[in-house]
Amino acid sequence: MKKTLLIIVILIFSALSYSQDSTKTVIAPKEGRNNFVVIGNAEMKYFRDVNSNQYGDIDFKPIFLWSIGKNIFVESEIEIETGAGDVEVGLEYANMVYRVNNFLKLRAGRFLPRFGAYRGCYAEGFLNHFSTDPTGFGDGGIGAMNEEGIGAQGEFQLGCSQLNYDVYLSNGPQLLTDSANAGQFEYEAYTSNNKQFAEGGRIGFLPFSNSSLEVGYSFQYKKNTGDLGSINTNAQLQMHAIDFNYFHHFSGIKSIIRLTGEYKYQKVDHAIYYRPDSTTYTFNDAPSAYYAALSFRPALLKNRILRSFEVACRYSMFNRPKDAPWGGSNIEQTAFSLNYWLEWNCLVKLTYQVQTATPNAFIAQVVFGF
Amino acid sequence: MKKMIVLLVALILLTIIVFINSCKVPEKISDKSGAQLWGEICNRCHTAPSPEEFNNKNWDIICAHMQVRAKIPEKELNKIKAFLTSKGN
Amino acid sequence: MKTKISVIIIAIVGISFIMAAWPPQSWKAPASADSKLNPLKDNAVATKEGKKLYDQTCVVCHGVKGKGDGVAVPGLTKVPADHSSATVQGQTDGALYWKIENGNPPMPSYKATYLPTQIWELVNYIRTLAAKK
Repeated sequence: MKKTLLIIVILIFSALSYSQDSTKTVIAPKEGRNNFVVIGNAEMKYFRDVNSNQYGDIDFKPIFLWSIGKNIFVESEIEIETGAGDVEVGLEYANMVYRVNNFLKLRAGRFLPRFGAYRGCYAEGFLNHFSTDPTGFGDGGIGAMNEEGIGAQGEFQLGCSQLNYDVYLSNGPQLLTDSANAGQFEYEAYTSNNKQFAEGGRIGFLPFSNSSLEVGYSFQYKKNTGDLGSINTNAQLQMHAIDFNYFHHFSGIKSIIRLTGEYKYQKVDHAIYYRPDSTTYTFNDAPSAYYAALSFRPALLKNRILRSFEVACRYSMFNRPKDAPWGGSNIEQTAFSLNYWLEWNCLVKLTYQVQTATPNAFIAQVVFGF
Repeated sequence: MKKMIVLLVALILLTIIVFINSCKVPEKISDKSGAQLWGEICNRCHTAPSPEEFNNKNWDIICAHMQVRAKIPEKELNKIKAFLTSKGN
Repeated sequence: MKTKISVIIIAIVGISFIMAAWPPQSWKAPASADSKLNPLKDNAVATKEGKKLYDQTCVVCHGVKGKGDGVAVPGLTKVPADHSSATVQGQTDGALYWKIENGNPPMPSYKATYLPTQIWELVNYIRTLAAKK
């Protein structure tokens, strides 16, 4: 660990000295060194199944961006949400980025997860072509919604292809041991429960020069996830994910298609839980989830109305540990969506969803902005 | 069994994608124009916004945001920015 | 519920046909542009150069065959011109030159990007995109 830190420090300082003369390529802002922008989005859902009929999940998420000079950049998103039946204000991310050179950016703060691609990227209101998340990728799924810590990222162009990387240290997941949630994790705690950080990263590769395909591999590892001094201090967690995203425009049929998918897996080792009668037990805790989604939009038609429609379908599966107190059966989900694009970043989604042990539901969502 | 089917479908899809793209002459990314990169890189995740969506000062900072989010190489980003801001204010 | 949905569908289809019938906004070059003569007319080498420039810059919106179906079309507020159409082919070389030079948002102006010779090369290439009769 100390060695890693030392290497990071050396890397940073050597890179800092290099960065002094590598900024010529950046286009200088015409006036002033400080720049500010507020963007963001608003969302609302309509939900209907046999038991309910309601409007809800009204979210307002302003994103604040500012840059100081050429190399310092801050991005932050505040979430004001009503999904839990009350107005909740949350800090989605507050990410401070220092651009060292063309190939290295350092960051600190609360940032979007780099484990997999769905949560950090494709779950975004106007990137997700459905009103809901795939099973295992939303609340209660595998992996964090955001991370706290430090990281480094960068990207390279390799002739006809591109490569990007991301590595980070974060507070990471914390093992839950109460009888209802034993073996699950609190992924987004604001403070740590022991002295161990999680290490993680992602490598993305874009093999084609038209950037149409990206495949990624990501991992996260935390040696100690239990509370400090508890029986589970040494419970370790390893996570792996592969993701892909493909975009193609077919002039012949005047349409564009998008194909996204992800598989993720986590494994917990050395965890022991107490029953109410104080006896202990453990179980094979290795859930996995995957999804694949396809969307089709005749976006190249000349008719303004017809070209704004889009159809999409998605299949997802969440394999849960059989012996877990909260586990048991696997969840299978299929969703179909008919969307209408009002602007490049504004759309209305009409989703019909079929899921194991849940009534079929119709969920509509309006998303304006990004 | 189910895993095998999923894997098989993924493999077939990948083959189709490679097949479709192999018809194109590979082009060095460094030879591409800002317009071309704008159309290809932005569309990777979302509809590429038209240059007239934001003013030039805003494009500057939105490009910085998108570089962090989507990991766009610096040289390509500068070309895209030059294209997006070539319309004047 | 069912009747409501069918009413909505009928309304959408109806509106889409009305919208489709609307004439596209026309963009005309000034009459003075017509008098500008193409110094590279029928120059095959220039046309070849024009294709290179066209692939680099125009294809993203106007498409490989100039039909206005490039990859960036979904985000545009206007549908790009179909270069194979009679509307475009019916214009003089001078008018096409003026349009490339000046742009019409979201189409950028290429005055600063391309030399006059390069713009004429583009005009030459656009002529080859005319729909075959």
